[in-house]
Amino acid sequence: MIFAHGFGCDQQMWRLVAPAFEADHRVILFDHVGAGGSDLSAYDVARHGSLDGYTDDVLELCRELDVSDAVFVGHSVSAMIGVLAAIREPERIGKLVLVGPSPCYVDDERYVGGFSREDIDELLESLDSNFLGWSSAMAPVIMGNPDRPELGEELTNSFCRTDPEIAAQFARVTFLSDNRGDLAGVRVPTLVLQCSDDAIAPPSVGEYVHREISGSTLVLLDATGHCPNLSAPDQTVAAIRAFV
Amino acid sequence: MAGQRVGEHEPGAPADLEESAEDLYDNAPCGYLSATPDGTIVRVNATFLRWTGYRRDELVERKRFPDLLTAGGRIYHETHYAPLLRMQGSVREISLDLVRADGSRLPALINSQLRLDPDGVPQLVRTTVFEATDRKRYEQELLAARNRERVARERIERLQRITAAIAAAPDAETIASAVTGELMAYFDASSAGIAVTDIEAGSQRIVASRGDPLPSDLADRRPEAFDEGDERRGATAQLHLAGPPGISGRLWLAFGDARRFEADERAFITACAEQTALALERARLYEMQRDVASTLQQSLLAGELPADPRYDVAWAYHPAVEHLEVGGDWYDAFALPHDRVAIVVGDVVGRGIAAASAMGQLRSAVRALASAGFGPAAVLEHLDSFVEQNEAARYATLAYADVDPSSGRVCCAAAGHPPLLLLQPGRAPEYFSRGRSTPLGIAPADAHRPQAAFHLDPGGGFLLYTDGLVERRTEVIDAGLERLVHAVEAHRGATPAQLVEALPALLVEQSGTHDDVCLLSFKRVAPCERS
Repeated sequence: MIFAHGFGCDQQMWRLVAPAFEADHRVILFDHVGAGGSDLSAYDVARHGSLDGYTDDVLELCRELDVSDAVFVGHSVSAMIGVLAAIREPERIGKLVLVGPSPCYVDDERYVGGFSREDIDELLESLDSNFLGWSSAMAPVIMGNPDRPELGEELTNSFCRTDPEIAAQFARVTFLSDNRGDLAGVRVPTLVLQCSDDAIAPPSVGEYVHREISGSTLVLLDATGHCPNLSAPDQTVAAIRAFV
Repeated sequence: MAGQRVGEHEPGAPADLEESAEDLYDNAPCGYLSATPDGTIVRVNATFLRWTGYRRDELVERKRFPDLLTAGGRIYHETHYAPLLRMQGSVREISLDLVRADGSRLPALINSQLRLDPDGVPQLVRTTVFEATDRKRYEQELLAARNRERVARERIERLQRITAAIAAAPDAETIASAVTGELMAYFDASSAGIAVTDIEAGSQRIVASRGDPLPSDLADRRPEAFDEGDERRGATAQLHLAGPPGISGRLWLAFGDARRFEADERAFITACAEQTALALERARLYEMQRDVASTLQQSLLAGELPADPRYDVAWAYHPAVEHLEVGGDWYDAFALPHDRVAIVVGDVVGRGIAAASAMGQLRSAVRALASAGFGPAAVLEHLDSFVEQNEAARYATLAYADVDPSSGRVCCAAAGHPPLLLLQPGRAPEYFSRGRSTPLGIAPADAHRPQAAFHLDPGGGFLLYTDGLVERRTEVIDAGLERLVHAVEAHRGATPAQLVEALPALLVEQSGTHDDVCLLSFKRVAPCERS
């Protein structure tokens, strides 16, 4: 099982969920390039300028670890990264669990994603004024010791630490992507986990994803917010367990 | 109030005022709200209500904390704030805007603390809100200053890049193409172009044009101006390319829509136009100079080689691929008194008009000295005095051979030049290293130049060449000389014409970059071979 974190934090997002599968699965956790303890020098403005680059990263990881027929659990933007990866190499990604997925965050005439272009600019502004856990004094500590996460853990807000420039680009890539056309290409069994009250991916969007991916299962979690993996870990585990 | 000291514990003094915890909570100098883990507001203080303009009953049990944020702030809350709070139990100093009841924004710094029940299950979130209007404004000013600085830096870097790119550009087309490309990309314009006035023809020639066709009414618009356009027509920037005496033209940028031109954008486009005009003038002069030099060189190199049944002579000149200016390599072959023939190959230092004219002077001087009856060493000695008066010819190298085609006697002298390669029938090619001395203008200590003679068998010959044939930057010259021997050996039996054609292809062109090469092959035709 591969657990992929979404925009904002790192693999620790899964710490209340992933351990529940360690007994009977090989569990793979990773940080996307640019987040958490990843090697920032691997960040490539061109490659990571679209979700395809992140998809390449995931598939490279699968090849490197010789993974086949994996369950890919993707939260938020990683749900779409999982969709792209499963379309490209279904032999590696055998099942998809999409937690709070949204194929498109911005509204258009016939679709309600929940946000406008201006809202995304506001988000970028928030990112610009909150460099969480990131200062010139801390950056060397974090970047110099990617293999010693215990150093990072002592730092406040370390889960969300990221290079400001990378965070801004990842935000643009995440919230301005439109992958609605890709959903119909998914051929692997898919579980959509939708929170009953999610400000980022509202239930109508979860239903849209469920409708577009034929044969998918939609489970509505009684949870508020965009991160059931933190706010409702037991329900999340149970739903994934029933699916795999 | 005399005799009272402020701050001491007296009846009615400050400590008493703080006895009411309710008042302390409600009128604290910060907003205070408590919410359930899903964000539902359960308690809020008066300060918060005063700052945000909400009534208590509009918030409590009715709104969740994220509802009070902007849409972008809500995403931030869901992706950063809430996960952090859950994972580390508290979040501090997050800057977010709250939306007041009237829709206006309240910039705030927000701290939250998560309270867990004894089983570690989240129970309550306590949040304090500090108004940060001034701080936020200051921060935004800093950010704006940082952005302005970045934009200015990028602009300077871009201008430097454009200037560097066009400084080395050899012609107007390359310059115009580079400038319009950069400007189009940078300003996201719909079209860009450069036109240069042909002063003789009195008309403008478009040297580069990118994007959409030129707006049809461009000619009617005032040049030397930034036209910001309106709802009917897009914006344009048109600048005169002027300044240097030989250049007149214009540069334009056109946009699909109206747009403002900020002061720094105007300055940038104006600077680009100035740099372009300078570069165009430089290229014009350069092109003119190059044409003159190349014409001069061709007229000097042209001329029939002497035709004589007793010998066969052929030459080849290969200009360097990487240089656009002509070089100073040259050759000559002309009849001498007493039925002899002079064979010369030389190389003048430098390139361009100066090198071409120095080459011409040197060539005429050699002819004059040789025709006056001077032998090889004496020719070189006289040339030493000659180059003292002719700066551009100084340090030129030269190989001179005085050949008697009937007897086969060859007397030669070389000043700083690579050795003559001797090709005798039935023997391996070998270098003839005698009769060599320093380049012209650096006379030997006793002012006498050496010369040496050898006998050319019937059917034998020799090769003279400039160093471009054998020199490569990355290796010692011996390696090149050895390569030449092998190449010549592989062409044993070739006529001089075949040899001078084959050698540069074999030795020079495949190495990619090379210097000018001039080579000349002489062969004494055996009586039985004569037609």
